[in-house]
Amino acid sequence: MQDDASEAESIEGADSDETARYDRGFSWVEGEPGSLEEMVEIAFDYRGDVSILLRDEDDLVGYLANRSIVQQAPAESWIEVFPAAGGARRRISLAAIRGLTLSGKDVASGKSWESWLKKYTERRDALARGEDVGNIDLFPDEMD
Amino acid sequence: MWAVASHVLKNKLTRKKRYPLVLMLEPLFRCNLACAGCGKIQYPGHILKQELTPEQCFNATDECGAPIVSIPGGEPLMYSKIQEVVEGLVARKKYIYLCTNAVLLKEKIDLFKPTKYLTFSIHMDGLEEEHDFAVCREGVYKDALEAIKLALSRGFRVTTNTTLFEGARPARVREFFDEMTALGVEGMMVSPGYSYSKAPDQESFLHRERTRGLFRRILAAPRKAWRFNQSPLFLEFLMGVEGRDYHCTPWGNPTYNLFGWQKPCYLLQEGYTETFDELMETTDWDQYGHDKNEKCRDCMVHSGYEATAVDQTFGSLRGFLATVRATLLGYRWSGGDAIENSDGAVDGDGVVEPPAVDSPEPAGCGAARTGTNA
Repeated sequence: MQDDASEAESIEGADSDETARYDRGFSWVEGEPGSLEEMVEIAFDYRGDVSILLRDEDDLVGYLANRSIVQQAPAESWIEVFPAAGGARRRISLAAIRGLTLSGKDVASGKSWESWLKKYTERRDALARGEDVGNIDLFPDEMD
Repeated sequence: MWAVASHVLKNKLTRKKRYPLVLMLEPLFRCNLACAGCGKIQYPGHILKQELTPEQCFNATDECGAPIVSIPGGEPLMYSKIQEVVEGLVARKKYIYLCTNAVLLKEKIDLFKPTKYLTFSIHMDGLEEEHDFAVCREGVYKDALEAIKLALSRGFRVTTNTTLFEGARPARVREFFDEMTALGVEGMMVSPGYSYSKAPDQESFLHRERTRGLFRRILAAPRKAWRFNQSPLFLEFLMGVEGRDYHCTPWGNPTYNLFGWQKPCYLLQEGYTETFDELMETTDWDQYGHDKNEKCRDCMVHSGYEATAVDQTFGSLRGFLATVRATLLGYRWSGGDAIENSDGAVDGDGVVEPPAVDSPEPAGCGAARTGTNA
């Protein structure tokens, strides 16, 4: 498990600590502690693209939109990915995957209600003090 | 109303245990607003650029069979095929609620023709200050107000869709209902929002009772002119009326979007299925409900509970009579606490004026305020 963006977290911790978040750069490659199934769940919750290390072809970057983990029959487990480069969604068997990385920007990060409330309150207070404050309207991100 | 009643009765007669009432059809995730905490629109750009095809929309509608189709999103007026999809659904005699923030309605209104099957359900979270605060942009309330007036003047059916969160001020909400009523909207829909925090804490635990208190203060003494486009039993549920401690009906408003059929409901995203039948058959419905699942604990959102209220109406003579009573005499609040509203202190005891009974309006934009990775 590697986390380039913050202190590395153990994948086992994901089950016991529901508040755990995983930042961009967090990864798992076979041979590391934890399991692919656990990493898939983390990637499913992540609001950004992931990089999938495949055994027999080039790595794939895309949004992991769905998964099916069959504990009793691991060979039947799969993920569904919308490739960032375009094209139809792909269903990939877990058996074909040797690692996953949260590689894309987490587009949900910093957009919480609490963040907005803080910004709104600060602006309101500043206006009450007679300070000149700018507009804080929120707009959608550019779709690169 | 008749479309819903006949759909429910048909399913009752065939002893179908689980059936949908409203299809939540999300043709895209893209939106022109960026409401903080909205869990519906936070996806990478290449996902936001994608849309369902009209064929996918029609197939989902036919698969599901619900008499009502709600089109939220994202912002459905940004959907490139919205005209084609609306026309196709009208041809199928589906009652459509096009759930929009109305920012683009003035520009797009000529795409549509007034019909009893099409209703613009305008997202309005309160008066100007509250609404612009909720959508995180100044001026949106004024735009929406103009759009409502325009749509009404063109003969369209128009309702409003209001989501209330912690901190809503009852007197201001009542004032807002007055304003919308004065505009001439056909009905109003109101629901508590869904605020999912992964961190279990006592404050969240109390949220359900606080929700009931808020709705009692708002609804216990309604004005005669107010018209709600909702089951009166659902409104009684929100107020905490005895006998209305409903359980969620997550399959009542199934959701279809780019990823497939969403498990288990409009608000939780625990996976997707390819077909509607697979959704109904493979979802472990017993896992969900406010008394069974932490994620559902505080939820009282209409997408889960309005279907329960409708099922109660048509599921038993008692439920039917309760709805008739609430329709003719007004919904009931028999609690003893004083209700303070914009008119001053009002004793909440007794029967109050009736809301309009109509088909259950589906949940739309604003219902979800998730904490996903935020």
